[in-house]
Amino acid sequence: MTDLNQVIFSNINGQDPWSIQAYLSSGGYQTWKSILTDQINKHSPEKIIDAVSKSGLRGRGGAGFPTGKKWSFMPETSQQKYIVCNSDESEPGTCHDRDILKYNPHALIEGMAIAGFAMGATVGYNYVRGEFMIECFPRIEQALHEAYELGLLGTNILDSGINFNLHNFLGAGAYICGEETALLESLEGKQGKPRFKPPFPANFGLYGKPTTVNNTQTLASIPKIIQNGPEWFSSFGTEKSPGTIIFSVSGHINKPGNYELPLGISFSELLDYAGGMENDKSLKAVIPGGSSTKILPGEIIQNCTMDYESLQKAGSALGTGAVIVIAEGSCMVELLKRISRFYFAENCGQCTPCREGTGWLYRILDRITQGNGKINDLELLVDVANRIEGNTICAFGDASAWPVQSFIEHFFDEFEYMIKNKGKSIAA
Amino acid sequence: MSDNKVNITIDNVLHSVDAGRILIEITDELGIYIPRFCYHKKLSIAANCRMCLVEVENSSNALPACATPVTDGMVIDTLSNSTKTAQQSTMEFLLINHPLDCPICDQGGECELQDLAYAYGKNNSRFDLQKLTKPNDDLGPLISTDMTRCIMCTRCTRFGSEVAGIQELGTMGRGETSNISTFIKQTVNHELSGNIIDLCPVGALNNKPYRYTDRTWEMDQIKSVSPHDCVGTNLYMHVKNNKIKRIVPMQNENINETWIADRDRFGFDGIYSEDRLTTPLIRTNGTLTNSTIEDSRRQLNAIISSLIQSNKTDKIAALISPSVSLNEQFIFSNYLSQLGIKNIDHRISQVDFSGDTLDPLFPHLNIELKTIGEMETIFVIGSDLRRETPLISHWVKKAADKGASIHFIDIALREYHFPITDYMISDTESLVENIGLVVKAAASIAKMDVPQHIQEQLNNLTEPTVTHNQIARLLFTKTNTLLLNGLVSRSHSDFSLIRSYINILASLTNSNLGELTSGANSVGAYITGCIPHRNLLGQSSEPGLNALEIASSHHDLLILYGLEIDDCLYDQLLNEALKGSKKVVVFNSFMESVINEHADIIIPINTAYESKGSFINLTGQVQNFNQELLMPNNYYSNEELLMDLVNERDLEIPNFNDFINDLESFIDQSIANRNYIKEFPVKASNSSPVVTTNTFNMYNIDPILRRSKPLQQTKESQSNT
Repeated sequence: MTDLNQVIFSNINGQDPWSIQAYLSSGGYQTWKSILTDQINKHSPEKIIDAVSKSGLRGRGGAGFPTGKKWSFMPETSQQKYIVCNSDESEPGTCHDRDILKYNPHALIEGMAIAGFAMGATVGYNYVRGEFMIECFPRIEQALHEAYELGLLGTNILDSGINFNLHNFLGAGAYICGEETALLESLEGKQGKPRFKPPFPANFGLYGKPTTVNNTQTLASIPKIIQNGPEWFSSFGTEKSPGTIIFSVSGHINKPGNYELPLGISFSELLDYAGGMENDKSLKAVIPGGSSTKILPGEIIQNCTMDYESLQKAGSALGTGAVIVIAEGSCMVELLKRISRFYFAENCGQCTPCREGTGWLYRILDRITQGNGKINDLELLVDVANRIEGNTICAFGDASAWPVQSFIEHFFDEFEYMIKNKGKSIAA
Repeated sequence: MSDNKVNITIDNVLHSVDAGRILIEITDELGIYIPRFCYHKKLSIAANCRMCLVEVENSSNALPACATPVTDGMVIDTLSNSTKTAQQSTMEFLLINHPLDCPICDQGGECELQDLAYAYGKNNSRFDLQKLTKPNDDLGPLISTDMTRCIMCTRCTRFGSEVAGIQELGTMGRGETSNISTFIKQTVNHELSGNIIDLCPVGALNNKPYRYTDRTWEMDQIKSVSPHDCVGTNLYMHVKNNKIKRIVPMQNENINETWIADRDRFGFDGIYSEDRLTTPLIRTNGTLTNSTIEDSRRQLNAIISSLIQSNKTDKIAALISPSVSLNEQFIFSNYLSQLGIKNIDHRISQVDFSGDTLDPLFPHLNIELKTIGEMETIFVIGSDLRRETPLISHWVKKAADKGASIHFIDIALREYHFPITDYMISDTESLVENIGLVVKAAASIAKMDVPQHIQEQLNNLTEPTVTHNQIARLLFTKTNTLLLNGLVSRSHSDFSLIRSYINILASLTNSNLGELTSGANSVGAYITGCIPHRNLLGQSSEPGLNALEIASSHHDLLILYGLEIDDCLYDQLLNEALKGSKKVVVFNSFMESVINEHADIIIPINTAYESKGSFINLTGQVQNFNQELLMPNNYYSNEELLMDLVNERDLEIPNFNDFINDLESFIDQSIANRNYIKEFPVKASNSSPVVTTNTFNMYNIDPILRRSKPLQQTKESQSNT
């Protein structure tokens, strides 16, 4: 079997891995210290961005945008620039950032410091979702405190002339704040509503200043990439999906949890890591990248490898790497209704299609499960979803439409059965 | 193709347009219609309604025309199927929760959603679930809400944060339960707040007094000019059965853009007040009894005849409101001067007249109002700017938002919703000294001499502080600078000295100068000779009594035209004058108990809302209006009434048309030739009392506003009674 935990979680097996002592003894902050001592030749900002580009690291927040490319968008300017970490991990099924914040917070802090240095951002914010208030926030606050204590953050760090100040910020618990511009609005103290783009954050971000927003897992991968070199990182995974990713596997499996594995492993291998199907049931379907991504029937995903291209080719996406496994016997109508309820409750209400459409979708699904469905409801559901998709300010509209489209595409019979049988599920 | 032009194709037609501009601006200019709700040319881009989605080649999704900058080679199809589908989708979503009861909605017939639903909606809705309702808010006496109709376009909230400068309305909640509301049961109080009624594309924000009274298609639209301040705001009156039903803005980019003040919108209600004067009254045997226009006119003429025969024209005095039309001022002033009566004034808020001989031909602002928005430094002296002239405050805010430094000196701290560089508060007495210190600082920076008698004043002052120096330096170093002298200065007991300081400051620093006046037509009053020291078109005359002197003495005949006791800054004195004068003749639109107690003849006149005439605003712009059809009953027009008085005595007064023909060149030349250096009045005697007030209710400044029920219920009125 492939080795687990080779990059981000490579140092979390000892005692209290979240403490700075444990992090330092496993070689932590060496990259940052090396930058502080040789910021001109060995570790110029250009070289760091170049290394990140070469490593092939792609954003782990869901969209999979090449990180090095994103960093290169930051303009040369005398203005204040910001690096913001998106720890508003809210995509249903996803829980890898939670474990990073909890068990390896210093990797994130070091990654943010390196990213800030590479892009000329002297201030960083780590936006942590409100629900992490009790579990993760004290850990990351403690870690930040420790890093400041050792003088690894602040002004003129270790007499290097480099400044980097980092702040943790606790959100108030809104899914939409995981959208990077809604996150910036929320960070500014406003309602978390996405901005229309362009301008993109690299030009007009936090407080109108150039800003890069990266996901927690993305940033926590950085120290090791710089330390061991981009070739080392890209030796994991596939050519187009290099590196490792933390899969959050949940659903009808024996060992739900986070598994850091190289991209491109087969789905069945991942399923083996997760202990196989619960009660030896057969696999019905998988939502491969968080609830927004399109569902794939078991027979399709069983032939997929877990990487960006394979899942896209299969008609879905790697998303956040949150793999939701669904066993035979599950009612797909109820499942879609539950997912649609989420998007109905979490849309920001700013633009018309989500505000008006998500409630419409949910209520139609609700009446189908109540036994009041009408035979043309399925056509209506798909049409409403199509009218939301692509017509909104941010990607939330797409995220609310894709499950509806894909569930009905792959499990049309189940929906039709329920409508014709006054709410009785085919799975029951 | 020049550098800043790009070629774009819209509906198969190639256009060369400015690079980087927003698509919808370009299509609007080209006459290609793209539907929209949240977009408004005076507000920032929100892109939230998604109605303006259009197909753009090489873009996977339809793009909002309101937020898409044009780029070279862009190919836009506003008529394609995918454009239509996107727009129809948005319309369907908007209508699922919007009530479809247009016949009982106040906005019906002038609703942007209703209009666009005909073009982009379906005949039948696929939505067969229950529609949502939303709670209403009490926004105060001017705006009513019907929030269930709201489509969350956020024009109103953007107006608050961007135009008014204070976000009194905001979006609350999220998802489908989002709504527009105030911060914890506040009301909407900004002086321009009524504009959100016009901005609301649906029937969610309504004109509260007008609501449910009339339908838009039954009313006529008449162009008008606001009679409530010196700005000359352009209005449309919506009229049915010769009655004003509501007032909306008329766009004038030089004066008021698309905005009007709340008092311009809701003030007219006062003309329909219960104490409207409809019948002439004559005092017989100690009581006022109903009379006729002819009788009252004859009686007035008889009083005047007897005073002329006994050579007592100097015992006749007249005060005229600064808000009557140019036509009335012209006849009234000429009538009196032909009779040899010199005691006439309109400056009922001024106490220091020692500078009269060196008065400018008329107080004015020497630049266009919109140019205020281009200024780099503005120094506002003695002005409660938002209350005195809400729209000038709006232009100053525009300059401030662009980064201008704004400086205030005033006798009280007042709230402004734009960045202010410094705000000096001084007490009433030291206001003059503080202005002098800015002059002193400017003189030392400019290294120029000031006239001897002013220099003597400056020598007596302390040294300028950092603030004084900063104001002077910015006025001196910046190119586009403006001094605004407000009504607090104008009513100050040392007004003449303040004015000379400001004149010197303007010439030392090469600044523009604006002098705010009370009333809608002070400029007209100066030009027509409704002042004791000038005749028509600024000809000097042997001075008669000024307003304060008129109010301070007893007369054989005291005439009041269009004004009330409360309009006068020294109302107690005026009351005494009424009591002590032998005969009091009043031309008024309303019954006013104090005046009626002393009046011998009361003649009803039309308000400005029911007159034909012109106002000259503070930039010298003559604006006409013609609303005679609104005259209540079958009155004479005010002009006819006054001309009958002239004709009764066979007086020959100058021809009004000749006057009008000369007027514009007179105004232009006067402004162009104004020489501030020659207008340095001497130090005031300082004998008159300091009566400057530091608070006033902006809805109590003229007889009409005082009677407007909605305005009298506002927080402004309730807290300033």
